[in-house]
Amino acid sequence: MSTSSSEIAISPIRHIWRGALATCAYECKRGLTWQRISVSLVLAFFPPVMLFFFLLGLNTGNEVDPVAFVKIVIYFLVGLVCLLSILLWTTTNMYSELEGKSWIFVASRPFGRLSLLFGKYLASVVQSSAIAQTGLILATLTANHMGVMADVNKFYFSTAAIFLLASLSYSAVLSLIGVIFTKRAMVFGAVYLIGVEFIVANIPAIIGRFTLRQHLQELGISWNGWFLPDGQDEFDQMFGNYPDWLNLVCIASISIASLVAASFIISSREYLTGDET
Amino acid sequence: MIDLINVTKLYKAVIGVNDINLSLEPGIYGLLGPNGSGKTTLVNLILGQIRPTLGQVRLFGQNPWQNSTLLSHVGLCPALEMNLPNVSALQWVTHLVRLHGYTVLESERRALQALEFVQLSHAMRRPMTDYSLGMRQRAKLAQAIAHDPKLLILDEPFNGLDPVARFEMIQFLKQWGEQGKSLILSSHILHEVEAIQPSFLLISGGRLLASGTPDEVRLLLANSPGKMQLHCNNARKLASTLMQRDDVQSIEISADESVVDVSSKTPATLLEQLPRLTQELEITIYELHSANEPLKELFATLMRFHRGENRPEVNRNLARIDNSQSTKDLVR
Repeated sequence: MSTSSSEIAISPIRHIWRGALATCAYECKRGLTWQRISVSLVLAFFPPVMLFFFLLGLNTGNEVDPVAFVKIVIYFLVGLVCLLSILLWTTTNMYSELEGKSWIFVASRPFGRLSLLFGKYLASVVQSSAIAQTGLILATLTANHMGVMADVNKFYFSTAAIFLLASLSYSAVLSLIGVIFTKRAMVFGAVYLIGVEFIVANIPAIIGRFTLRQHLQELGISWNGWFLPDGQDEFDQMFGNYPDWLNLVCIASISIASLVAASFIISSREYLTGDET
Repeated sequence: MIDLINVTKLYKAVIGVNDINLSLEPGIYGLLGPNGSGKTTLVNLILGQIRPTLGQVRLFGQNPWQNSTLLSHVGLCPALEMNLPNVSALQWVTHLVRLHGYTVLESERRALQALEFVQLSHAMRRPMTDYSLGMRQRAKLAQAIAHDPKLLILDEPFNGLDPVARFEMIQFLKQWGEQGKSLILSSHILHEVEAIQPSFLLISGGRLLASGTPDEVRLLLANSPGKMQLHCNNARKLASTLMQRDDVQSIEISADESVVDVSSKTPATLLEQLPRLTQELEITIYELHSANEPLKELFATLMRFHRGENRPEVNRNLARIDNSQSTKDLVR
């Protein structure tokens, strides 16, 4: 076999970027299995189907504001499927490589470890965004079609931006969890989401500021407006009210810190499969 | 090319490799040792996948743990049987070449070339889960050579290959060496490694026990204690004669008195004298074969030597090899 020299001169950053794009493309192609497509479709169709049944059973005679109800349901359901998809496919970033014994093939490439981390992170963002955005579009159209929400544009675009930020930030944090815990990573990921992003995020104290949900929630209120009939004053008193830029900085900081920590760990840790002696 | 200076690797309380000193110039090397002897640990240390607990590792003059760019000059074909569902060999090899920083087109070109070279073009678009063991081995080899490395490391590359594929693999490895590129071939089967005429590195129990040319290793093997099984027409007569020899350690006769199991300190000497002996005794030998793996016995002998349980004949043998010019490193 005759090929030209293996030497190629590109900067480390560019090398990692190319490697990450290659890994992302490879992971996305690899994910095109019937099993995975079915799971993705179930996740994407879950919010509109559930919303449809909720709206069928909604008793308009009560004092419930149907628009506020629909918005809360959409936030909850789309958020749920977005987090589930990240939990399913991001926390297993290292486990799947070690279990599939493909780790050494990647790790024995220049910057292979970092390429894998960032590539799988990008793939997670792409996949979870695709599911969340599909779910959001379908749920918004369902609400519009059933005559509950007339003006969907503002709600859709602000919510789409929130879920894009959620995909970017939660993928980073769960990538870190996947790199730390190579076994039972999904369990630890679920523990983090329930313990930190659900329980701690509801604590009206400074500790809650270290969660992503509080910042995403505040951005949602800011971009979409307070849509509940009352309670905004109490909410602001309990949780405070950061400006948008500060919420964005906090989300970016948590995401970047998670990726930097994950990069450090993946580069400095000895990952071995069971067969190696 | 590769330098290991007092390298020890511990996995908690388990020793991976133990105080290895090694300096390898570019060339062809056969890393030989029984399963679990530390071959893969040594390869992982060379590739910077693990850090030595003690000592230093240098690949092309630099620390591979701290500088992963060195890996652009290395191709690795590990022994691991990977599980890659829904991926064709072309996709997989292209992906791995892209990790070297090549563009998509260039990566695909190299992947196609490598797959053609390992004769997997016909199946390269099929899912790898449908491949036989030999086909997966070829795909692994393709990803190792596609970026044209200076050093190729192959861990048990003959696993799962049929005789034709083995022959082709040997031809490829010879050709690789003739191109002036370096090769480290890790295996636990001597004759497979021997076929490409490398310099041997014998490793067992995490220790580098000896190194040398094929002739030197053969000499070591010939004079290592070993067992042989003789099928003859008068087992009792043969056994009683052999029992009088100093080099014979034990003898066992089968119940039907047709087979003699002989354990000898120097089986090569015994084999040399056997034709004359049987002629004198008027015994016919129908079958003769080694009852145990000679390499295993060699490792056991070398380990005994390491532990200080050396015996005169082994010492003499090792000393002979130690004096030979081509031996780079011998039992420390």
